[in-house]
Amino acid sequence: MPQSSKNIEAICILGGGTAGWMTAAALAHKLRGLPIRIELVESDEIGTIGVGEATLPLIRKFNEALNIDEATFMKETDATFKLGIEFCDWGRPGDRYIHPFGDYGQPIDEIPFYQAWLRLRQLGETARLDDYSYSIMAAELGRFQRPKAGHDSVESGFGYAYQFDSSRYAQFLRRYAEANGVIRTEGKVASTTCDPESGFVRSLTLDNGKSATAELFVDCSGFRGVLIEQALKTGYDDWSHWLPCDRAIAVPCEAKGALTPLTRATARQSGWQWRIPLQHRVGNGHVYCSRFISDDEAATQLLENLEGPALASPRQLYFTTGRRRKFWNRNVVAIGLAAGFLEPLESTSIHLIQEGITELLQLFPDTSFHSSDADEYNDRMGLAFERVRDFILLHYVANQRDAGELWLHFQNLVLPDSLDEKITAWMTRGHIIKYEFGTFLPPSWLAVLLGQNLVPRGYDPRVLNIPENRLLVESRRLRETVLAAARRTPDHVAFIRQAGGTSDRAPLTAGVS
Amino acid sequence: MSTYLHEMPVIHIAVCGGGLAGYMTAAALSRHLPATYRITFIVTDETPSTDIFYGSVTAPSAYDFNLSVGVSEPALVLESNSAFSLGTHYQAWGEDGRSWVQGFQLPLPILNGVQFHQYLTRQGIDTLEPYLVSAAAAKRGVFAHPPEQAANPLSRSEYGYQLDASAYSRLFALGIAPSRICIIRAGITEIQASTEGIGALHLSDGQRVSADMFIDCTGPEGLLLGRLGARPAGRRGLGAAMSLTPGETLGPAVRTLTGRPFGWQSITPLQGATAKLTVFSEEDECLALTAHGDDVDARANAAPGRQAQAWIGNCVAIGQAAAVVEPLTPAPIMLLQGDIERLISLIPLSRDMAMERREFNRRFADDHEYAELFQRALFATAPVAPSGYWKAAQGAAEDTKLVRKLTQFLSRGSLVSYDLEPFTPEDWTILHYGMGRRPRRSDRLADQAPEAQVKQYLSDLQRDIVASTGGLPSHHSYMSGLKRFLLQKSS
Repeated sequence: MPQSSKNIEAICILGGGTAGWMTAAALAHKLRGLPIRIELVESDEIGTIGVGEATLPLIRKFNEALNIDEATFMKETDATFKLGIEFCDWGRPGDRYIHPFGDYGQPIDEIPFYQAWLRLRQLGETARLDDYSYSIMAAELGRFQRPKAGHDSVESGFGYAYQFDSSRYAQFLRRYAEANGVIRTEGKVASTTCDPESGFVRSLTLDNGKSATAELFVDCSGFRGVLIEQALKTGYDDWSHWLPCDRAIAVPCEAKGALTPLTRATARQSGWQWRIPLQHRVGNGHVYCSRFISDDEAATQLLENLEGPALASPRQLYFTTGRRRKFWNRNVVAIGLAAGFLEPLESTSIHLIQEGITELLQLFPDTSFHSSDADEYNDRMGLAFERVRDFILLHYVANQRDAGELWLHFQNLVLPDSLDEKITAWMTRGHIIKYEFGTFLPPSWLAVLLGQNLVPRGYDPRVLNIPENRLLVESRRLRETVLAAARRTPDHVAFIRQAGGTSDRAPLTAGVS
Repeated sequence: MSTYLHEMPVIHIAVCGGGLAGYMTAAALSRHLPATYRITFIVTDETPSTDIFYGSVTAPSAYDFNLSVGVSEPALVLESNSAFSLGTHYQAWGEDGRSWVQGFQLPLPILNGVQFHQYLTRQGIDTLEPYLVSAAAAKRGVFAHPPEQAANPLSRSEYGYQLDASAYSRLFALGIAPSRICIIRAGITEIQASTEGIGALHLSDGQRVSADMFIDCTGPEGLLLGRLGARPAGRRGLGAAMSLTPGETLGPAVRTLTGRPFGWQSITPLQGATAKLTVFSEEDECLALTAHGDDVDARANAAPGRQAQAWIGNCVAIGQAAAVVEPLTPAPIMLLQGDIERLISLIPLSRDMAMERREFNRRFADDHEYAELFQRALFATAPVAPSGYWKAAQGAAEDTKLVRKLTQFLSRGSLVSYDLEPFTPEDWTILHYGMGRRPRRSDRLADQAPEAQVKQYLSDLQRDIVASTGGLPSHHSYMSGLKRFLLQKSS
């Protein structure tokens, strides 16, 4: 070990959006008791971008690890529960499906249930695969409850996440972080001082004359990447040849109708539109490709498709899909939009922030900044980004939409080999090529593939070992069990109330279904 | 849009070969494939001598695999000389003659989000073994099935089997569902093949067997795959000699494997016998056979290495026909099981098997590559004046995936894992410690726990392991008791 190597004593996080405060809160909690000063520099003048207000189930692990009480968190962030994502018009216009946070049915003789379902279809059975998913059935009825303990009932073993106001989540975590010793410094970065030899960032000088010095910097400054890019010139891998959408326009509106435990993504001619129901309003946005539609048209399409009056004027966002060449360069680790951008079609933005924080803690450096730490971090995060990218790309290529230049682009796209092999294996025999490390497990791939009308030509022949009669009887029983369980599940709004998660700020405007 | 196969065509599969790979494959196909598959098993060699290259131990995954192909643990205990295995005790291994028990172990505790061994690094403790219950039981020569109660440290142990390949393969012959398979005992006189694949086999009894798909279980020769252009894959020749010495008392549930200048030697206790296996580099044959003794029961040579593609055309090579693996770890049988499970999950639906072939070959390459990393990590040091065996074993080019694993562990005790590796993170941790690799620094988060608390925790754990293994019966008496119980139950 080099003589000079010692423990990190000061960390500076630049930027106070969702990424910045999530990082600050997690580091403050995980490093508690150690002599490490954590400072967060942010400016009230710089607006933060709410990077998708919908999350994946692992967000619960993040909150739990910080001992955050669910009801308090929900109150403070106007959160609702989320059982999955509803995709409208993705296969063909008029189609809809739900990507649930859970599996379909239970394996029969160790064969995944969907294989048996493929056989049942061949036998003339018309039930949807969705009818065997408790999460989907409950979500369709606007119901919610937490999964029950154990593995033996359809009401256990599914996942759930939240939809929340990410700027309020950032404020909530700011209070948490400050209470846990994080120092907040107000100011905009005027200049960055780097070590002339090593190129390491040493200090930030702020426009108000203050400065911030640290050994480790976490760049949460958003798309600009004030440290990772502007100071260190790390470079960016542009993935827009895979995913060409490059702009979004976002607007909140009043809620009409039931409060669904679902995020919705509706395909549009030149992109797609999100709908995220919160307790007191609905978040909406239109993600599109500026090559194929003008900003004005995109805004019009969005505003015409709102369910209630807009609550603010639309906000325009610009982005380039891709990733920083190195997420960790010298003594700077980029987390959040400074690290890379993938459109929030599968609610992965906050998830990738969380992964970035988890890996940073796992590979927490000392002052020698061994290059092996950064290399390992970059390898792990690179894989995480790539696998999410492929899963998002699947939605665009596995469909039958043919109207609009955007969709023609995807029809002519040469796919990454790994994705091409996955789709071929699926189409041949319903085989899902799986990996161990990555956000989306086989049931997620299954949901999108089948949801977008890619019905395999064959199925696992081992299903033929199960007598037809047993298949018919067991599957009918399972459908009935799932439906009965979904029907006795509490209403989503009632469940939020009962859980004590109702926000004080605004009433639950959405009606009880 | 797509249409379903309305009728699954009948597909005829011919398994050709014998020994462990042949019988395991035939048992698995007969148990898993529906009646639309016709299966013929051409037994060309009941017990090929090269089967000694499968070694004498399995990993814990054998239990589930065996059960799925109709071989239960009671059958294994009652109808073969197999015994339980807690792992391998390596001795006089590598540069500084290292010794450690590579035990089978469930994940080690994670305390406060930090992996167990990080606390050892923080406390400056150099050994992992006192905290491993499987190692403790192995060294005491005791055994018991891991109990359910999580509070008992023994619940963290796992076990595989100690075996002799010829007796073990006969178990799988019993696993074959007889109604599902046609067995022919004959040699191959001619293989008819085209660019498409294999068409038919001519047999020594005059029969001609044509099939839609052929499974090559002919061992290192890979007769069928070779006919489709596969070339021998191994680089360096290894020899192996095996002998069984009868004995009344069952020895410990651990294989002892000792490094020698010519290679290595293992002693594996079985029911009613002890198996001795010597593996050596071909040029040191005389030296090795002298060391082995003159009571050789089986003798074979083979060159470890794997085919670039185990599935060519309509022919899939399983086991040694696809890859010869040195039996230094449970990898050979683990990979054989993997080959068979992969085949079952990708059994073609028709004569068009392009997708299945591509996916099988991809996973075959991954599984074998990841297992090889583990084997190679056993050679990251060598005896001071390396002999032919050690020079050759170390001679392979540097592997970036292995370098990443070793670098991360040495730097900070971090475990790098690739997708779906056959060896677990615990296997790797135990191996690193066994080979004398120590992290240079510990996880900063390990500093949070008060030192006194960590010390107390570690000494309690050590004490609990001593206490829980102290009361256990010897492997011999446990096995005798178990057999009495099983026999009473069945009578």
